[in-house]
Amino acid sequence: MALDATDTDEDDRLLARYGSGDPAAAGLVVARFLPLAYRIGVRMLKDASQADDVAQEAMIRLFRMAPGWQPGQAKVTTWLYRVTVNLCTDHLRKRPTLPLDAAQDVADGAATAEDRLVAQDRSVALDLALGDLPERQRLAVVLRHIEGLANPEIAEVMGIGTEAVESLIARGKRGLTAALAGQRAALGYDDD
Amino acid sequence: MTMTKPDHRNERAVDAAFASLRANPPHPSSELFDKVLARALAEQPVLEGARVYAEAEALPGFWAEVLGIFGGWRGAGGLTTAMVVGLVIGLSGTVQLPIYEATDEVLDLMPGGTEIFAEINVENENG
Repeated sequence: MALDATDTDEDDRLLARYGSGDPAAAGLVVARFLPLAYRIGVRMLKDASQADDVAQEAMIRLFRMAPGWQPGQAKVTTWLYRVTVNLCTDHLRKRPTLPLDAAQDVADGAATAEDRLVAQDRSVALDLALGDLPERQRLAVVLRHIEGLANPEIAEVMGIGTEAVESLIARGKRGLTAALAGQRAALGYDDD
Repeated sequence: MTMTKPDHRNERAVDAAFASLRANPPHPSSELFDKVLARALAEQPVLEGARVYAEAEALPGFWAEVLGIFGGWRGAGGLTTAMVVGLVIGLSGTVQLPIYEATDEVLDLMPGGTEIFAEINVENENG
């Protein structure tokens, strides 16, 4: 899923077309970039409604930035990842902080221990475990192992150094491995 | 108590789960897409050339090449629409122009008109 230089050039040209008033480019821009913003919103917020809001706001900022976009200086996707992540962070900070025990009883769809035990789908189990990671570890792991970004680009998105990214990813993956280890038999991992 | 060897199968299981998540990403709804597209069109700059650009997309290949003489729509943007249309009509051959053969005969179309043309030329030079 990682982009190469050709994708970067095409993104630049597409954004330039949109910014110069080509109406045909509007739909292409939405089709190209909205899924990215939405995926990050869902992965980070675990709430479809808030993910919609974040994705829409991120795209609006992209539309307003487009006329002034300078091709070749940065990747459009990196810019969009950074904006979307910042919007997600704002949403997460506005959420009420619940005690750990109470958090498991929230009836808004958050995973309970029983959900995890009965989860047969590996990806669902991993998705649930991702939700339990600290925010920055979750983000680093999502960007690296799901979105396919390289560590330098993740560093740029998160505004930290590459070594810090590596540390977050390593800790996050250890946490996920430990979380899923107890469910290997139930999830059929031992059959591999 | 038996020490458990490092189990790389756990890591492989996590990697397999990541692959599954990558293969099945969440997709925005059609309602969200339509809402964002409407916003894209509302936020998009509206330039005079945009309407001309859209029409040019429908031009057959020959006319696209003609447009290329002017450096595409960016170059032709400096020309007025009327000038471009006039050029197209001229090149299309839809207007039959009479062919004059050179002769020694001089036709005085406007008796005494030399002074008038001189005045017109001066006006043109002065813009």
